[in-house]
Amino acid sequence: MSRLTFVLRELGRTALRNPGTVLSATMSLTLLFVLFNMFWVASRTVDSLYQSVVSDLRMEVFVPDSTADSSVMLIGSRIGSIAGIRSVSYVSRESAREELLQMVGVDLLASDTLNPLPRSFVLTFEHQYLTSGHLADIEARLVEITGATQIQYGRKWLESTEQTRVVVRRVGLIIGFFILLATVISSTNNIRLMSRARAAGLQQMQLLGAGSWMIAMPFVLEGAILCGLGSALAWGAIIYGRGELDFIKIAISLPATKDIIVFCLMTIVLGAISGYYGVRRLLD
Amino acid sequence: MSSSDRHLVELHNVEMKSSRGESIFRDLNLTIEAGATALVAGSSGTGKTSLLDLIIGRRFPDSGSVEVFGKVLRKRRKRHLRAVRRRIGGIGGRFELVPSMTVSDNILLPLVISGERRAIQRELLHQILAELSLTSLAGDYPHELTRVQYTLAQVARATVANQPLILIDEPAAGLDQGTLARVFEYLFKMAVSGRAMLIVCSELPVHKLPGAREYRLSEGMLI
Repeated sequence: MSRLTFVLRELGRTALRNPGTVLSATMSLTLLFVLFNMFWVASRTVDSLYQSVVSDLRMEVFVPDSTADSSVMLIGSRIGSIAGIRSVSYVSRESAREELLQMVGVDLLASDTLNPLPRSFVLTFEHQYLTSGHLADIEARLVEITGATQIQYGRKWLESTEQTRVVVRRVGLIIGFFILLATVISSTNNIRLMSRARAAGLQQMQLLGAGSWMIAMPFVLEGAILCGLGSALAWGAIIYGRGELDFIKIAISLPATKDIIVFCLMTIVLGAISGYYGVRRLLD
Repeated sequence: MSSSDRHLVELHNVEMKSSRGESIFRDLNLTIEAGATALVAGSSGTGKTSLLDLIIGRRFPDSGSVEVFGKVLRKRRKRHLRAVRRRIGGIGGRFELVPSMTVSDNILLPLVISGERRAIQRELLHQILAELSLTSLAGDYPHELTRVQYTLAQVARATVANQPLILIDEPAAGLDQGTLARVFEYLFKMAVSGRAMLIVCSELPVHKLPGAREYRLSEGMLI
């Protein structure tokens, strides 16, 4: 029997001799990972909702009545030269009247001989400029343009949406950190209990000259396998759960498969570390 | 032959206190040469098990030195400790079998730890199981064995890797006269096979071993 075979047999022995402990450890780790994954998915879903809502954001720049039609196109080209603006669409008085008619269904200005509606430019922005900070900068530059008197966009709405997103992210990070901490503690504790149950045998192995590697490795592998299995089962549950939630209108955003695999690998490393810490005291 | 080859164990002026500050050893000196047998008798609490602990590096003296296979044992030199322990076989109370492993796995353990080849492991295992009439018990767990079977399994584990030094902790404990005679028969075989042995017991045994030097442990010294 090679040392590696010995380590693997020890690993199998633990699982076969303590199936209840292994099962309860796997289940508790799975539940902790499900909780962690739920916060991760919730945070991503809020993020993608935010992105889709914010990408529809428009800014409207009104041109005063005193501005001659010939100068309007010049204003438009100056607006278009500002960094971060993706498109500039001119809305003439007639277009504005048409829009109003479509919105209300009745031509409210039918009795008027002159069209009183203002002319304006509707701006859309590059994706990376869709933040309250960048839009405030663009607004400041627009104000400097002669002829761009009044600027309208949902500034307060954007600010509160951004704050909500930050709060969701921070809460997710804090809770996620504590869930991971609980996972490490739980895994370490499981390994500690299993190693204590076999303390007499481990001590005999030390008296026969077994190295720390040989004694610790079955527990390190055990920690790694339990955490890896727990995280894989947790993702399985989340993916299955999303399939069952088709009736919800909100699109639930799962991380990319690559990220899920990386996460599972990280939990394996985390499990190995907790396995080592669980058995460490018995090595001295 | 160098001094370290001749003297497997050398304890020089060893002094040691218990965790409560009580003196266990005062100026303890002991030398065990290759192939020699030392019998140490002492009543309960005189430090017999502590003596074994010193030699396997489980405990360390407050002053003096413990040299085993020519290496001075120190707590921080773990590699030395492991190398020394691999050359020592143990029988008796201090050296229990690993409860979660079968008899054959327990016997194989010293060979696995020292990285012996698989074919050699198998050969030595079959040889020793047959020699000690343990073949039918190879798949049993330690808790399924009788007292004598358990002791024989310990003997097998202590000798399978041809360990040059055997430490024996209370070989007579819990054994009837018939069983004790059988155990001493194996100890006799080991003594004549050229292995060095240190046997600690409460009373000097009735059964004699060839060339054994007898000591009595009293008030922290060997007499």
